[in-house]
Amino acid sequence: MPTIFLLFLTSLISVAVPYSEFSRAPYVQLANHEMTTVVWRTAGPSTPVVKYGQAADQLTEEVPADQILIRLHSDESGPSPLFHDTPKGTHQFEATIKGLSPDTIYHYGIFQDGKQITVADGTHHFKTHPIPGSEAPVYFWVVGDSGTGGSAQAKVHDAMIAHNEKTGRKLDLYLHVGDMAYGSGTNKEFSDRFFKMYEPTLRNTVCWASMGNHEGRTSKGASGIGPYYDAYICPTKGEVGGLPSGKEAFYSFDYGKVHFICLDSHDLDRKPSGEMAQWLKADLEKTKAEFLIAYFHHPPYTKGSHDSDREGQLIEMREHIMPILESGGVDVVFTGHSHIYERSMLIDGAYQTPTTAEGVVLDDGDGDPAGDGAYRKSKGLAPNNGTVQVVTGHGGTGVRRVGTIPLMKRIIVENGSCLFTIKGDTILGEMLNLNGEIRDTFAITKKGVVEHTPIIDPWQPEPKGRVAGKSSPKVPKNTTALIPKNTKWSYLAGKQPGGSATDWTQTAFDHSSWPTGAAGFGYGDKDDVTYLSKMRGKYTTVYLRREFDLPEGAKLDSMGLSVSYDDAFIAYLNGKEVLRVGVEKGQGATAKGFMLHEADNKFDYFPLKNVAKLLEPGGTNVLAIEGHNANLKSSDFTIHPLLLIAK
Amino acid sequence: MPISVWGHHSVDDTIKELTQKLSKSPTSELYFKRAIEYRALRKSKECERDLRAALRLAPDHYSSKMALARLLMSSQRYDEARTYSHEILKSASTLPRMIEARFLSAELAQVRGDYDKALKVCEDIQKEFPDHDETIDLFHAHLLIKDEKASEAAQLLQQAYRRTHGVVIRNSWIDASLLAGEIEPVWPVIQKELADSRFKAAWLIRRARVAQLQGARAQMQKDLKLALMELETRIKPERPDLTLISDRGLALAMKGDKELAKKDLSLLQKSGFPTRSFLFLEQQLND
Repeated sequence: MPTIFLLFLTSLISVAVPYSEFSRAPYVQLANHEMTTVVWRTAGPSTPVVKYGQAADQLTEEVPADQILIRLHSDESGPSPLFHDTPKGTHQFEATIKGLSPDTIYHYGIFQDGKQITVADGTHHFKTHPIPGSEAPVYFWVVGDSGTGGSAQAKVHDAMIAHNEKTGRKLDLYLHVGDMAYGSGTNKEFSDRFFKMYEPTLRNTVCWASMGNHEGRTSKGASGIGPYYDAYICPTKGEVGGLPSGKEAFYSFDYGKVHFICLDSHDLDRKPSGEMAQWLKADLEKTKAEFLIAYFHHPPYTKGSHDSDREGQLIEMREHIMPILESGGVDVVFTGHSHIYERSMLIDGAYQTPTTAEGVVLDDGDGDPAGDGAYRKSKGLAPNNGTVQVVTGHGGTGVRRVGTIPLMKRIIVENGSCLFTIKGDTILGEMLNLNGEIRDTFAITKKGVVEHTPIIDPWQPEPKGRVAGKSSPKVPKNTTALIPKNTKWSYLAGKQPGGSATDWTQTAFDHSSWPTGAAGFGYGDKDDVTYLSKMRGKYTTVYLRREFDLPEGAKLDSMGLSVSYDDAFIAYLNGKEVLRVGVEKGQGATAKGFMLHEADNKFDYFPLKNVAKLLEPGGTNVLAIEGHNANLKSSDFTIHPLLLIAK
Repeated sequence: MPISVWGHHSVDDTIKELTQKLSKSPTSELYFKRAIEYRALRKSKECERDLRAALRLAPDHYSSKMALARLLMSSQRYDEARTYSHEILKSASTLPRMIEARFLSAELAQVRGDYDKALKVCEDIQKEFPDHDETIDLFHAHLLIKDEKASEAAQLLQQAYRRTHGVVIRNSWIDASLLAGEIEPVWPVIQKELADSRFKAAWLIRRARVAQLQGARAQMQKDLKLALMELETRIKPERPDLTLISDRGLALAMKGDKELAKKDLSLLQKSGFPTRSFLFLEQQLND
């Protein structure tokens, strides 16, 4: 909070009115390995104390009332505006608990007149940071653009809680990359769309926030005044490690061996000569952490609801700030603003406008330990050794994609959030959607010395709306089905067909051991006839074969496939590949570079061109299809092909 | 649900929605919001048009007036910017706005070359608003240095550092002190940072400046050599971090490699670095 705010001790205030209800429930802020701050608001004055201890029923220590800071409405405290637009009478209490042990869980309660006024259910607790530089792992949640107060935001939060309950994990901290209180970050919007929504999490997990453009309508980074700065207590003096920034708009903090850096991309000078960039340079030169995470609101790379090739703040963060971060050895950059999930390959030096992929991708794999393998970096913070960019602006508002950044490995247009673990030598990141499904996984392993050579012609995602074959939602008129809906196919699931990668597509291939089942094939989404119950988490590819006859006089060049698919497939006619949709390269087990696609109970039509020469009128013809799921843990898979021809 | 409530989906969508609203019921706030969206797209002409429209509807619309004054200043239309700046100064009523208005006035005076006025405004801010943003202190100190009052600048920055604890202010205090030849107060900080930092080049250069002041040429050369060696490993030649180019330029200039230093200076100038960020480099090149 800005220093111009006057701080009063409760002992200076006459207590005339008894305790009134919380107008903002208790939440934890500004924590380090020996300190945590508990903050709450009431609609009127009171003289509370905070009691704490290492068990919920043993709150033996106390922060007395005269050591709790109070902030008041400006009309009641003097010339300086303590709050931006809080109702008169509002009291904000800030109790700093000091002298704590590192890496330890403490419970706390707020007491008034000897009576506990927080619920004594054991959920008001916090864990102190480990000793700076220690090996302790950290598990954190990252959310952006969530502040609608609506159902999607609630589901994203609920999904995180359910996931943690299922996996038995507890958050160590929470990063918010901005736009947490639509539409203008007013006091009321903060209360309704942030504090009420996340209250069960905020009471025991510190949210380290970065200001978004919507909060920026009422809060100013330069002065540190506004509802955003009222709500958060951010380090300005290096209280949690990192170099003192002197202002709450940008800061850094340490957790074990991880250094976190928060920047204000909204309303401060973003040039390398500006105060924020100069602080960033100095902070990066000082830190001796082994992992480096940066977060701010405006993404350097996005084509979600915003376009980083066109918008000034985004371009400046890329052109001015990213070179400093990458020369400092940053590992992951989290941003929001753009309402989408986009996750890059391992990149370095992609500062040009418009963004291109040539010569800036260091590893074009998917980074998934169960896929292409984790991205590799040198131990410690090596300059320009590779960064993964994560746009996580999908925390609660409507999602959208306007195009494709060629650096992105995953582009997912769903609401969700990110869960990250840093343990040992590895950063593991997962994207959890609002249904609780893991939709992306990647890792960065840092050990030894890793030298990368930029890839001249790296893998690139398909442009938006385009797949390798040209599709149309409409089937041409006057067609008939050579292989109609729900036809029985021979299929192979969970195994690889024998022979070379495409032997199984040949007409003479012996598929007698393959089972048969009616299309569609898959799981999830309740749109499949042959349900592949063991597919999720076990395998990603299903092989289909179906023989068909050609009617006399068939117009062979009018043939087309109508397919409902999730996520990708390759089609073969009589052993020759005729269509590839959402698969970059390879076949079968070697297929790589999948685009995500939802079937949505729809069929896309793909004309098959120049196939007449492949067909055997009067003979046996085989349509073979390999269906691919982009992610082993995907929530659904579908492949349901129809073969059509003009009547 | 209106886009403006839930957060806009794209700048273009927001402009479209605001345009529709403006066609039905124009307000200064709507024009201002659309101007900000145009500014995000770097469409200065459209931004200016909307800010003027907002001020026609509400001549006292503070945000529009401030944004327009800054836009005019950045496009070097100083006379008109000054007119708006005067109006803002008169109308600003809250503490943050009063400080913001004064700072605009000081910046405008500086870009017009009226350093005396800029200094006077900064001094007034120091006296009247002691809790101002440290950006103003950095600006004020730069003016003092330009006026060859490095010692005063150092004193000002030291006081600001005591108030904010910000490391940029502290480093600026050290640099201003060295420029003033005042080694003693900053020497312990330089020593400590050299010992504690992961990357040491910036602090080796500062220690080299101390050696330069003390006439310890061998020590200076030794530190500069070490700094340049480290910078070599940190600078990516094809796409460099300009903050490191700034360090390298200074080290090269001090070392006597003036042609190479000039190349770095030229790169910084082409990249739009403001003059104040390479004052020391220029000074070394001119020596």
